[in-house]
Amino acid sequence: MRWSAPLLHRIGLGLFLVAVLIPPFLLFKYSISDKESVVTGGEYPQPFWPFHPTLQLFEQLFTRDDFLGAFSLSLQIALLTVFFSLVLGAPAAFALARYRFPGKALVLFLMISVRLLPDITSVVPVVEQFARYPFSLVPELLQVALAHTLLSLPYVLYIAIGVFETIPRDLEEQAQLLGASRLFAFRHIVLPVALPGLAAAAIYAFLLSWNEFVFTFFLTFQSTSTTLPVLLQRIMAWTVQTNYLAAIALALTLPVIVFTMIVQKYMRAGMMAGAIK
Amino acid sequence: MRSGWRRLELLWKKHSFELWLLAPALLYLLGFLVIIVFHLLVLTFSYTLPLEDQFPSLQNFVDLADSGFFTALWRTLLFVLVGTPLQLLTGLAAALLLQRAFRGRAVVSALAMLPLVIPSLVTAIILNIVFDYPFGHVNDLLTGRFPWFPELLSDPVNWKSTAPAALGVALLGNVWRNLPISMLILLSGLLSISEDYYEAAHTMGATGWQRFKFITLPLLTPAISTVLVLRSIELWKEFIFPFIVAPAYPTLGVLIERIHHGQRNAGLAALVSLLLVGCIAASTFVIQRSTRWLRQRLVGV
Amino acid sequence: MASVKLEGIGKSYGDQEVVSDLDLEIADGEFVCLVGPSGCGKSTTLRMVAGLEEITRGDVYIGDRRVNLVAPRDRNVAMVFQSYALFPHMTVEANIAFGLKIRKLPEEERRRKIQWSLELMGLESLAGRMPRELSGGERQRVALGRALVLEPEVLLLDEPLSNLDAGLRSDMRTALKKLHLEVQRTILYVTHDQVEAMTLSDRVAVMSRGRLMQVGTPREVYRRPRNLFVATFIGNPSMNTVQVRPRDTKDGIVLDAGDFQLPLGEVPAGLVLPYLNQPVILGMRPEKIQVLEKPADDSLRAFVNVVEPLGAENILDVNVGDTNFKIKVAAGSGIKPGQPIPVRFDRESQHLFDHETGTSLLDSLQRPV
Repeated sequence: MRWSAPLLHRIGLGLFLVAVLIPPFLLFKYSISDKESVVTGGEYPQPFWPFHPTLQLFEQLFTRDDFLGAFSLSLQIALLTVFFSLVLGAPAAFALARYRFPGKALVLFLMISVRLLPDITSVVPVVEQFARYPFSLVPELLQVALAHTLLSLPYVLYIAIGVFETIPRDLEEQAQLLGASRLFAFRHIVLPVALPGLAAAAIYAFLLSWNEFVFTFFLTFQSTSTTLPVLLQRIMAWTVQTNYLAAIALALTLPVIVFTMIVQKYMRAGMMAGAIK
Repeated sequence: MRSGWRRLELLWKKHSFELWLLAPALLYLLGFLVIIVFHLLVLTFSYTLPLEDQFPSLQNFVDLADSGFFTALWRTLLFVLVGTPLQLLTGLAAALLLQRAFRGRAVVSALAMLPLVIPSLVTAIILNIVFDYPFGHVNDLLTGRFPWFPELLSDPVNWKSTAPAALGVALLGNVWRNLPISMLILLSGLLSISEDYYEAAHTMGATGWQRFKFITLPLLTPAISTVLVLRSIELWKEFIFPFIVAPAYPTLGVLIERIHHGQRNAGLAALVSLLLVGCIAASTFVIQRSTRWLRQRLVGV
Repeated sequence: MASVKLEGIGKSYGDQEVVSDLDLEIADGEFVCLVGPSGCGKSTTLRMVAGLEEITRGDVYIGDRRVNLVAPRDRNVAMVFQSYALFPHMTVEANIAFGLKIRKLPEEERRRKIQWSLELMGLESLAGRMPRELSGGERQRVALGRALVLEPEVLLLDEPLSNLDAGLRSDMRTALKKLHLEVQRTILYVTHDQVEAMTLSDRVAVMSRGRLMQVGTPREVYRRPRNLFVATFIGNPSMNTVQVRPRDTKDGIVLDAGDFQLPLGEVPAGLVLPYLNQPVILGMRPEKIQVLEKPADDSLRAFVNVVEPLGAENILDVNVGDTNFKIKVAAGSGIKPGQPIPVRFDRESQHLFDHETGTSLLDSLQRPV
């Protein structure tokens, strides 16, 4: 019997889905496993579904100081990163999207060229700089947020330039004719209209910071408090309790999945409907 | 000279508003760029002693040979040489699967993004758990502890204690995680090929394989070249997977961390960092040259 | 309230000249239309008056003030964009209030002015709506209200009706004309639609390829086009043109079109004499060609190709010999395609243009040399 193309296609799709879904499934499975299903002592193989599924681990998580501390630090750093990225990125993106000025291509290249270096390469000099006076006076939380801003800013610029390009120039020109200065028109007309699009950039910056490992790992190497990803790595180094590890990993991953879904929804900016035509 | 200043002054007057908007972000990014390049160069030529630093010094170049650099370079090169084609092939297979219209394609496409959404660190940790020795899922499976799976090995493998196994698992993680990126690039390449070519080839009696070979492949070379360049760069830069999964066999990225934290030798770490950048530049140059050559061959003949 | 004066203004982008050497004076309270095909530089001219576009050459005056280097917001002009440019995140009322708020007017006065504008434009019931909840015509009225509430000296309108459908457009045309009578502002109006230009304005300025072709009342521009471009651009259907050669015969000068000959009309013979036996362009308005009941001495035999009914009128597409003409006749004349008809060219309404430059032969009379 010859295998028909549709059948092959279906088998291929099946394999593909299995390959994609196994790791997230395992993550979920471990995070709800009871102790018996994880530590078997070799008497029987670890089951693919826990003997007694439980949410106990998550309850424990929220009573542990190291987890709560890392969670709150991650959140603070991510929010700071969003703030810095937007405050620096949105005006610059507007200037790049709207105005022609000599050397614009060079400016754009210089701004993204930081990202051409591998993280692991840039991290050594950045740590070196932050170790020196007066940068060493900057609180660690802020150091990490500034490093994350360095990583997210080029992307935020890229997204925000696209957002500003979709906003008709007429709006600012009209505002100027009605008496607004260019800065006023930018702040009170362009920014509010760009907000839904900029939200996508904000979420991008948030996720980048939330997931970031390399810079945080180096910058908080000697300190006890750190972000969730680095805490996860540290716990991994000491413990064999895989279900506990998985529970933290899931707590780290869930916001990412949720936010990514929100971004996709937000991207369809319905606001422009009334502006033109 | 005076007219030069005058011109600058006029330019500033004309563009001061946009330059004010641009300045903070530009200075921020440029400042970091300068800091990074400056420290990399200074550290490379500094010898870090316990009490004082020596500058300039070529000691780091002397120490390079004993630092495990060449072994790490070899591992990383293998990582790139095996990983890049693997990324391409898996991405191409996934793209071909999703190119065809079928019921539930939207759902499958959304699920296909899942690897990208899960932080690499989390994926690396899952791999670590699954490839555990001696009682991880993979060992349980391969040693026949589940009745429905054949016994392929008599003893469990310690995945972390042999270089090929450890780096192989790290590579698996990297390929899985970045599958959506390669897939998306190739899929958009596939979807931009006009249906007309296939129909024309069909009327000329070309088989499925011939259509793939003579139409899809040549027209897909720009996308393929993009995937090769992007993925090879990412593989050179890769840190998290080898760091978590194969800590005993450092690649260049992991070596930098080892030297910086383990030996507290920022100078040597900076030198290795510079060499890593050099490797990326050279590898990108070679790949771009060869794909251009390949493309001319495929299209030209 | 103020006049507007453009003195030899020009605009270039690099080597490309979009507007060149344009002179135009608009009197206080006058309604002037800038009309021309798309890309002729009319919008650029308007934007130079608004201050949104730098002026490469020449001067712009509003009132007695040279405004070349004055920022848009200090020119005391208001503009309505083709897209209306309503601020999408503000209500109708907030849109109208925007300029007043920036000018920091006292609350009391602001209320009064907003009320005045809402009433003027019939927007009272829509004050709380968002732009996206409005129809095209309503948005247009908000844009106008927002412009007028600042009591600008000059009102600039850039194709304000082109986004509306046909019925609404003619309503708004009437409304605009009424509005002008009511508020008596100086208005510069840009459009590519010559019907709009002719019906709305006190004077029409016709532009082509960055140059001003003619300025005059709609009647002047229609009856005495100074060149071939204006002649064919203004009027619908456009003026018939045919190449003729003036010949000196015993009956006086006749225009020889090859297929037929016409006696010279009211163009003074002295102006035609230099062109004897050389090609000139004869222009005839479609309504200045009469269809006769029966052939006469001075009639020509035309052959009807197509009849296009327009309601009150029909447009006939006819051939005289190999030359194609459009004729406008009253509906109900019973003329059918394929039918030969006798036609007579109105002698008083001949237009003659230089074959090469396209300028009207009459032009040398109007302009002192």
